Amino acid sequence: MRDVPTSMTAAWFSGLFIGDQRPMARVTIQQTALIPDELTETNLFMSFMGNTNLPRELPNVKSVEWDRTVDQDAATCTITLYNIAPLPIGTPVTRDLDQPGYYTYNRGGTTYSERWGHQENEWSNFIMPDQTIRTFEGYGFDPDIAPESDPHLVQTGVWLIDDVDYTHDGLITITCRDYGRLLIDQIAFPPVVPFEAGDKNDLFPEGMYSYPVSFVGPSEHAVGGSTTSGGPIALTYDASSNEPYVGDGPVYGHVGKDAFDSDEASYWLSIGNSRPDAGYSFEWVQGRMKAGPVRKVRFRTRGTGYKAFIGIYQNGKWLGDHTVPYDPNHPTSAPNGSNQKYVASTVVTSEGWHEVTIPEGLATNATLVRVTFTSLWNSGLGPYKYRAAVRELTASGSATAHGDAGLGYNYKDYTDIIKLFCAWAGFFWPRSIAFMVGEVPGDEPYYETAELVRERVAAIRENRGLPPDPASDEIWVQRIFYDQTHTIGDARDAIDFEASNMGVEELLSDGMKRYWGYVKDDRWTMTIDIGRVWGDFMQTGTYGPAELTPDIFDKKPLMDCIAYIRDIVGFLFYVDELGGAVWRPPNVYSVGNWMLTGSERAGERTRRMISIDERQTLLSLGAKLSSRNIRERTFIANLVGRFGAMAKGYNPNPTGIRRVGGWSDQRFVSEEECRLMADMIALRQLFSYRTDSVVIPGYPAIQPDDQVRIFEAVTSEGFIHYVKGIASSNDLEAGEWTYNLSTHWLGERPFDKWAFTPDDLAPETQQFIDYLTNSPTRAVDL
Amino acid sequence: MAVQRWVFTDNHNAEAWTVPQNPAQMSSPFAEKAVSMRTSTAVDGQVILFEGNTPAHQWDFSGSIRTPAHYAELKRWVEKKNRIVITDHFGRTIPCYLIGFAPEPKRSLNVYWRHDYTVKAIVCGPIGAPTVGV
Repeated sequence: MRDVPTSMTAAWFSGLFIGDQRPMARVTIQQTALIPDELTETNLFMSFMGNTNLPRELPNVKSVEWDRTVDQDAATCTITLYNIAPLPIGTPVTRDLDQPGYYTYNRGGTTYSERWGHQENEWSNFIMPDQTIRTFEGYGFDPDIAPESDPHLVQTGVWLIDDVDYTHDGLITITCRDYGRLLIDQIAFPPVVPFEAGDKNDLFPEGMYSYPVSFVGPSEHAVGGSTTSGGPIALTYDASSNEPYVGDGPVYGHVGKDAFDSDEASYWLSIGNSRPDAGYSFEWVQGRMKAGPVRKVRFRTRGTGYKAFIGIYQNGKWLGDHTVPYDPNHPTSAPNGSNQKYVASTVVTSEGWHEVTIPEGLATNATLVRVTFTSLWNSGLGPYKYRAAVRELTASGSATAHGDAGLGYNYKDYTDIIKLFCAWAGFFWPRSIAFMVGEVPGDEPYYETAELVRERVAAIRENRGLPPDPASDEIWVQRIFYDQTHTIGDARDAIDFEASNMGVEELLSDGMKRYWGYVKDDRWTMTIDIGRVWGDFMQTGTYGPAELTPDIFDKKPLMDCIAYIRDIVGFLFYVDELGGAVWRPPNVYSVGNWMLTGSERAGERTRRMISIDERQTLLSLGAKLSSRNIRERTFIANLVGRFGAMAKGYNPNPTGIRRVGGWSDQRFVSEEECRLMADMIALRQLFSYRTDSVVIPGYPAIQPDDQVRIFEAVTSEGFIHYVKGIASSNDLEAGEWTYNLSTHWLGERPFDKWAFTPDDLAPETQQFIDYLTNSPTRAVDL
Repeated sequence: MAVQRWVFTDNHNAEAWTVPQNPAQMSSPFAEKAVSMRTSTAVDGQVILFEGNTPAHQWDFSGSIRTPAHYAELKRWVEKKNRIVITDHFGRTIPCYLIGFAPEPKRSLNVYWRHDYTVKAIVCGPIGAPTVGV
């Protein structure tokens, strides 16, 4: 459901679509641009953001028709316009009246154009496949305002042109699909899927993804199970550098096992140091494992800027040729055992996951995995602020390309997978996160010059193994300092900018610039774009028990990959009118509607629903009853596990016919799960019993996946209906704009009585429905 | 009040022609709105009106020709490949595209070139307000 102008709603209810309230459709066309995100360099592409090609309005539109349903891969749209332009006054008259063919893409641009005296114009190479079309529809319009800003109109679709038909009699027919086409046309194969895992992906901190892509959830097998050759390794807390001081006690509430609990919100925290880089400023934490091979070590810190050393203990000694440069003889040192051999080192540039590969054949019988830190982070805690903090430390016995099961897990919710596919396809867009620039020693603000920031950015590039690129680095610097128009006097003004999330620049008298951030978590931070995914994504709250192997996704259209996950969790996936991906359960389990992505109330839920009344807006209605999908009993079973469940079907006309339907699958892990599935199937069968086809004047407030109320006397229609699909036809010549809704019923009274009685459902099913309808995470995009 | 002669104006070629004799008859140059009517399904439902783009309107005027110059000039203007503007005897400007010229010879003892004619046109723009006799 979406908010529309009040004038549109008033016109819809009035039934008078004449004069200033005539149906209108305006269409713009824009050169499509799929832009790679250069900052994160993670193969994420933007199709909506950063496109500098200006859209222009298509003239002479005759009609706009589109078809959108919840269960199609991509909505379709057909636009017809006249291919003729007026002859400007003073232009020599030719054989033709006016200028037919003026908008043909190659007019005047061929070797034979002289035959007709044609010349290229501003529409050359424009109305062609793969361009982006936007449609805006409503009642009335203002010709002096661009369609995007016209208060009478709302956007009804973002489309990519598939076909353009030019005819000799002056018609252009443009056939399009919505931006779901990006997921249909692009497959899970390079270059869409990167060959190299690359550096940490701040957008998806659970994992780095490369071809061939696969997904492992954080199951007990992945983290807490026994060591398997090539698989994830279970690490448990063994010891840390805190022990000489606090034993295994807490430091500011943080304990050693916080780094091994699969909860990234918790973290191990070291004791404090007075300096970050002194010979004594080394802290470590280590995990114990069953003896076995180690090929990769992954960890995630709190704080950045560390230098980390990876230690592997095997057969009574620490492996490696080099020793951690801890000075146990420094007067300040209370020897904490940091000065051991290490096998690899790295610089921690972000708070995302870091991964270190152990050379093959080196760690074959390891029992301890340690990570040691220096260049400690200023925690702001206590008199000795410089500490190390580790959120998680994991290891794997496998060295295959990332995305496999050897690294613990690389997703925590099925929604993560959907967002990744969308981001690869072109639904990525920038988002600001905190990027720490300086530290706060005491109450004084800390600052860095632009030169120091450039050095930091260049160091990040070097650490990622990227070639120097000062021009790109400058973009980083500029984006960090987003707002360059403000100057401030003191730190209090910087704090005032916290809500705006912007960095602030101060020009100093010597020509240098001082950049201020805002205070968050006792640290000065500024913002830098990383990204998010354009759409409305609901968390599923679950992940798979088994690895989703590469063969499921390899070389398949990204839409098919999404469909695989969709079919597991029973969610919907489609692209809405603003081009945002919508990923959520079908809106059938509680009364109300979701608000449109991109609107001010995006992701909100409302109990309001639109009534389609025979006295006002209902032009025609056909109600169909069918028992073809009804089953008196539905069973779901796991024959291998020898368990199952049966649900009673719903049939408003019990006749004694004994129709039984069923399904057996090894992926059902419990009888409760089988009962839930059976109940869900029985519900969907009931919904298919009564379906309507409804014609109303066009009204963009209604969207697929909405609930509406319909009243019609002859068919005794008064039920709540679920809108599965909408077919819109807007004929500007005839002036008729209608919606044809495909719906199925849900129940009789809006707030208490459904078509089914929830109390008849199994407790597991009721709990599942409660979760779906009351989940607080209804619209997350990261 | 003297009768204002019709004037044909071609802005593309910067020329104008004042007819020697006004037409004797003309149909209405004003187009009808394109409105379709439906009703909602209830017996006591409301009327629903849809209005589309006002279509181009066919207009014709007829009169008599007495000279070959009148005949030839009228024919030349109808054969033009561009829109013209006709200013009628009320001073209304009527943008149109002339699509047909149907002269019929008439017997006349003293006027060899006597014809009755009908010109068909398509009105393709808004009609200006009258300026004569207001």
